[in-house]
Amino acid sequence: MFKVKSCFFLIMTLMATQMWSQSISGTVRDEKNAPLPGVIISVNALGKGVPADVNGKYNLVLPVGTHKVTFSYVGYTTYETTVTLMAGQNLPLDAKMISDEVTLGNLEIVGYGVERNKPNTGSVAKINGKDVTAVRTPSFEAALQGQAAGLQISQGSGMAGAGSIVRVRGVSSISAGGDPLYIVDGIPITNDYFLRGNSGAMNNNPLATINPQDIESVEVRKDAAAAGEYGSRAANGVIIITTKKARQKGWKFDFNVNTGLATPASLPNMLNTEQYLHIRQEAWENDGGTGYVWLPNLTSATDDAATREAAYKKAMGTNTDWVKQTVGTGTKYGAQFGARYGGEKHKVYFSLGYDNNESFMIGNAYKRLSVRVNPEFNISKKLRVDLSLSGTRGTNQRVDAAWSGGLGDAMSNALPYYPVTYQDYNYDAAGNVLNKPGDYFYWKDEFGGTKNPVAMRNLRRWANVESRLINTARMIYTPMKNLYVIATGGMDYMYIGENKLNPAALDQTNSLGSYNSDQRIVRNYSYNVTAEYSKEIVEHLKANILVGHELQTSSSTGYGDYIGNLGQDIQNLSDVNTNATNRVRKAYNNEQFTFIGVFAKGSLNYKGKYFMDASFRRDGSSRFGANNKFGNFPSVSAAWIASEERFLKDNKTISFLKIRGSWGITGNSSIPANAQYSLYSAVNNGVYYNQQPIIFPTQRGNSNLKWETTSNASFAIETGLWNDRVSFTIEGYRKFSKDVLMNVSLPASTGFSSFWDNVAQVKNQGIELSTTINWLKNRKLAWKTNANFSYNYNELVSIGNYTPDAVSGGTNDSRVIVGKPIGSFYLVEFSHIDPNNGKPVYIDLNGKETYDYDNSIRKFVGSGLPKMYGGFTNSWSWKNFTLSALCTYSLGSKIFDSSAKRQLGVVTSWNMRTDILDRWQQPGDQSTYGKLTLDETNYGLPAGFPWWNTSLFIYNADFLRLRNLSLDYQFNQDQIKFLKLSSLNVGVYVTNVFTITNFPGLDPEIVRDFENAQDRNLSPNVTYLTPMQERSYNLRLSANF
Amino acid sequence: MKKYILISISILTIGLVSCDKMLNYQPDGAILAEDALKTPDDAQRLLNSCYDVMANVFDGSYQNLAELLSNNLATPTGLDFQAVYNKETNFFTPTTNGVYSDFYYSIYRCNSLLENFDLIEGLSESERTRMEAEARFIRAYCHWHVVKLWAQPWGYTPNNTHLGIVIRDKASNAPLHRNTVAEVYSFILSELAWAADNLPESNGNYANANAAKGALAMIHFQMGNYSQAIQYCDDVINPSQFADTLLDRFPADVVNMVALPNPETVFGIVSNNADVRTDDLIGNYNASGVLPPNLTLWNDATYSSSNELENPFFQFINVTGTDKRLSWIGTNGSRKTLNRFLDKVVFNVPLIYQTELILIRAEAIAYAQPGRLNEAIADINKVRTRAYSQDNSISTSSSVDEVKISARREYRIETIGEGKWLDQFRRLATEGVVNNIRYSPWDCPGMAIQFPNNETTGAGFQLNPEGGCN
Repeated sequence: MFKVKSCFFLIMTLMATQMWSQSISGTVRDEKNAPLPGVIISVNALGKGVPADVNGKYNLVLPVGTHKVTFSYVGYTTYETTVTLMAGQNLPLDAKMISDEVTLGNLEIVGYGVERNKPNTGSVAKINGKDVTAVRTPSFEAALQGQAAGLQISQGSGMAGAGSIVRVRGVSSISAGGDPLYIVDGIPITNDYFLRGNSGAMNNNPLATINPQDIESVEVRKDAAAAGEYGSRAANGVIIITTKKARQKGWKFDFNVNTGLATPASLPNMLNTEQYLHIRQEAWENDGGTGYVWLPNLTSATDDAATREAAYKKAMGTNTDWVKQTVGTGTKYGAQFGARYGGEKHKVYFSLGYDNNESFMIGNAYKRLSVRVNPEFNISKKLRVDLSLSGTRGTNQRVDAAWSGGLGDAMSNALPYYPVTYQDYNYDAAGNVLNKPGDYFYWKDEFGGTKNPVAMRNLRRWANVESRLINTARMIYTPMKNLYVIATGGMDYMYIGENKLNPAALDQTNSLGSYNSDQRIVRNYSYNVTAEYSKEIVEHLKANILVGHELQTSSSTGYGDYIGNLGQDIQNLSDVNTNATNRVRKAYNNEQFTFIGVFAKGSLNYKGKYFMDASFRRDGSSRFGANNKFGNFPSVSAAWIASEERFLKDNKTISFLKIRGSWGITGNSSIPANAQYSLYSAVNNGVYYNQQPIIFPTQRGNSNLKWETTSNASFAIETGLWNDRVSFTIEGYRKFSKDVLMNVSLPASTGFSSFWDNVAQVKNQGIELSTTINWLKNRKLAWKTNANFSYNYNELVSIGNYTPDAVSGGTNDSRVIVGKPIGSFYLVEFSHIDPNNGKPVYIDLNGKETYDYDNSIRKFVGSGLPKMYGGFTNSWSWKNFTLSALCTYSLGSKIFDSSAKRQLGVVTSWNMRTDILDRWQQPGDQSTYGKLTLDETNYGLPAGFPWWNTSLFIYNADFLRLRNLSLDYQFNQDQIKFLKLSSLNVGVYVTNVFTITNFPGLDPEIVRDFENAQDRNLSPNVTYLTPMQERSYNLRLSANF
Repeated sequence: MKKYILISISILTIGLVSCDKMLNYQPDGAILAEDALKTPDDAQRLLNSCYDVMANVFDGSYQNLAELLSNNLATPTGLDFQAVYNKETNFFTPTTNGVYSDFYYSIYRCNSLLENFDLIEGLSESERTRMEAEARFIRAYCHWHVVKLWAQPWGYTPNNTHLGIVIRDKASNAPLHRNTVAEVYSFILSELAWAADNLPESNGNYANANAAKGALAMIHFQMGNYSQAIQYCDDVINPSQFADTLLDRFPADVVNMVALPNPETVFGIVSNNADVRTDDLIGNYNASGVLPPNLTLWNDATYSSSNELENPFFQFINVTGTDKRLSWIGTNGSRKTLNRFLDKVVFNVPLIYQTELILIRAEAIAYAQPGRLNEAIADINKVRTRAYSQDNSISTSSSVDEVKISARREYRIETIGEGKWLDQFRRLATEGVVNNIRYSPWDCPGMAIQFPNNETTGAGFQLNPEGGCN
């Protein structure tokens, strides 16, 4: 206790002695030397800023060091200067603002409007590009984890290019897409995870093609005030990505290289041969069997005892660790070259990047080659044109995973007594050689599939190629002072081609091999035009009004090819004649949608301390019924900077205090393009009964489909204490969604499987807290903490007259349960193993114990949504070294280990985990798992149904993870002078260092592959043979010159 | 100032012209429902699609489930088949869910046609009547087959007030509760009666008046309405259609892969080499490489019941070596296989045919019109004469009970693999003639297949109890 007190005293002493007494202060004037109130004086790197008071005076407290200070104000050219503050220094810094009536050069556009006119009333979390690249992740969005309150990110797995689930303030949608809207340089981009379905147990990740090195910043807009301008599509938040641009005069170059190793963050504990055979033998004997147990793919239960014994003993001679056969160490390396030029009129940013990201899955890699050119043309004093041009080619070297094979096989049907290859000659009954040493050993899984993950990986050729162009052009025209007309047009072209060759050697039924190809093209065009005008209506009251309209149209087409009988000599994809005469091509329907909107937004700013915004959108979507295509989306918000009031102006404790609130309606329309239509088809694979044509209904439409809407209220207090040494924001929100779109699972007797309807109501409410604490900062030593905490309560309020089974998360046993969160698990409740007989005991709906497993007693047994999540980063700087540690955490959710029901249940043709050793063996045993059996009916399961779907496999998913640990060294100028570099940084960093959790499976953060958006919404925190997360060890070097 | 504002407004209005039109698409690769049914040809196509789905169900999919629930087959291969065989289906059993859904797909299509005749221009009254009658026939026939497997049978409760299935007489997506078995049968009978009155006498491969009457005969027979069954049989039975020498109900030209006609067929599913509708018969009764067939005949000499109808099929048929139908039985290891579909690919599947109607009438006569017993005996002997290599006719002075026994015996053998025996076993069970199906009572809960999970998405739907057949 004494030590704790001592430490606290020491810290407080240090804080007191190092308290920021240094600052900059001065007066801001206009060209006529008149004081200019309302100018924002800020240091963007610190996220700090103050407005000039009514006399143009300001005082901004800053830490010791060098800072880039920005003075910005509507109608004036942004002024930037660099200052260096010594400890305790108060540096006078006056500024003269020049009217930018004719200067557009420094105007920033974020969202629809001019950056400096952005609302002060909304909830926006901004993450710098540097923080995005600080963590090595399969795709950039995963690096945002733990970096902003209200932003919940679950990384899927460690597979190369794997995506994440991103949720902003909970999930409001059930069947419609629950992901946020992504905007890149002003245009909404395609963000469809299911373009190629769930091929190979991995969804396409459309964000993997975005080069994180090109990102200048990421804004997360959370509430109605911030996201409201995207109204109709913002129900699940908006993420705005701004790419890098040139800002300075002359040339500047940067060069970044990195390399690293990828290893699995955890490994499954599968049984070895001796253990598996022992377990199986015990089950056999428990069931009354005598002699040696029969073994899958070697013998059957009806074989005589001698045959079974021989097979058993032979099996004991092989012990293959299939996990090691599929998992290893991957290498990573990447390089990025950037060049920036700023001339008198024109600027350009150029980058070229290459990244080779091997995962720990042997044979799996994602390679990305990207180029970006962002030129800016100041054509005249009134006209500027910006281009943002990017091209990326991503190649995903695929391997099977999860249910599709690979590591998934190693964790299931690959029994340890199966060899990888034959060690001896194998003969048939007549003495003919069937296999020779070195030939792959193949087996059949329970579904009849031919298996051997090593053979599959080595022989199959499988690549997914993605080409993407995200190009925008923006014209900024200022015909008169303070009036900006901005027209932005964009094209997002995405091509995904998956090609798979099953060569003859792999094809067990067709000795000539086969080729499959799936090609998808999405063309997404959009433009928006806005006009924005700012004016000081009366003294100190500034008004800003923006009006605009927007159009987005998207089409998705493609085709699939199949070519059989390739021939023995076809070994590589390049050998395949893709125009072969026996090619069977299936064209995919063109899925089209169009979105249009008109919007207006007004802002008032009184004395730089009272703010009010109001916006209104009217949006239309082709996805809805004829009478409901349009929806209205208003928002209002206000903010008050109380610290500018006299009663707080000189307060020594509270250096900044802002109160803001907002309300608005946002919407969601992410549903299939044609869900509204009742459709017929005349196509039936060319087969028509009685050789007569047919026509038949294929879809039951709903012409009344309309927007899913969310009423979004938010209230926040932002504060800075002790000259902003400590700052925090506390925010509360309540989102109530109605007309939530459900793809209702229809009773089979209706003749259709599903039907889209606006049915449900969903509530999200929560509290967010973000804080920055500068514990210590002086010339040699600094310690800073950024932390955020989010609490979200999610409740499904209503699903009309439907039952929980009306909407399901595929095979994940997640359902819609009123009064519970979206993403709730609906299973038979497991109670315990009866110590008397080893039988599992369940709890029925009346709370009574029973041996009978019955689907009618399924109930809510947990939710996959976390109640609390967040992250904290500590950075320590000493001289030129910076040590940084990012921790993330998640509390209050459950995880459903869906594969454990086979790995830790009935003994079948699946391998099991060593946890099964804690099984019942004799009366009186208190065990986690039951009496071993080969007969599922002993567990109360239906015959032939060994899928033990019980709450036994629902686990606490709480975790605390050291997500990233990095150590960087920044060279001094004199150390690198001879290299003619302006800066040089080297660093080492480790991602996913360790995880503290009680989850007994691979990783509590794993998210499995999904079948569709509904599955993605309903089934967070489900794992089914899903690959683990990656732990990577990395080295980076960055230089500027 | 005004000028600039005007310029801005002008720019803003670009692209806003014809907004509404931009929000309408003609879906690619599909036909809007309002455009689908306009001509008589469209209606005929939709009607053909009702048969199309029905043909998929009766390619063996339905028949296999019914046989697995009966005492004809041995333990099958495959988890779903085992679930049916063990009378432990649950609402996740894909195979049973698929068959159930297919029946209702066909019903939905029929309802879509029945509700949209008014959209069709140029449809003559006679054509409309024919199509309506065919659609109502299919709809009723499908309902009947669903209620037989997904509910306890007619006679399970005294007034048949036990739960049956959902009656779907409208194309609607409303979740509905189950009707009673009495209500379902009432609906089926009235629909078929209307169809019988309005179907043409001849209608190619499609349903005709005799198809509806044949179905009515079979349903009344199952309900124990023997007089009505006789009446409808009398209407349909045509001695000239009885195939005296054709023992094979599924004749096929194996070499040329062509289905051969079966003159006995009143109504059935047709196949051709471009459109094979026999997959689940040939795929499950024939061996695949070294693997035995998924479905084999129950052959268990240790199981012996005092009532031969309860005995395993192989023990039941293997009484005399003179039965030519023994050639339908093969051997695969220790298993006895059904060879009726061996080496065949393309053949037709008769669903209503003369032999069955003859045997039904014979037994019904023994119940309801003993004065016609000689006729029944003659009919049974027609079947026996064809079936046995030596004279194995029953006596012309056979008693009522002997006629019943003989008719039932021939029925079970003649229909092996066709999914029909279960109906008769259950009928006899409600009369107390038989009891156990294999090792469990005929009316144990699991004998009613569980409904698909999605049937419960509407509140209040009552599932079948599961299990209880150990």
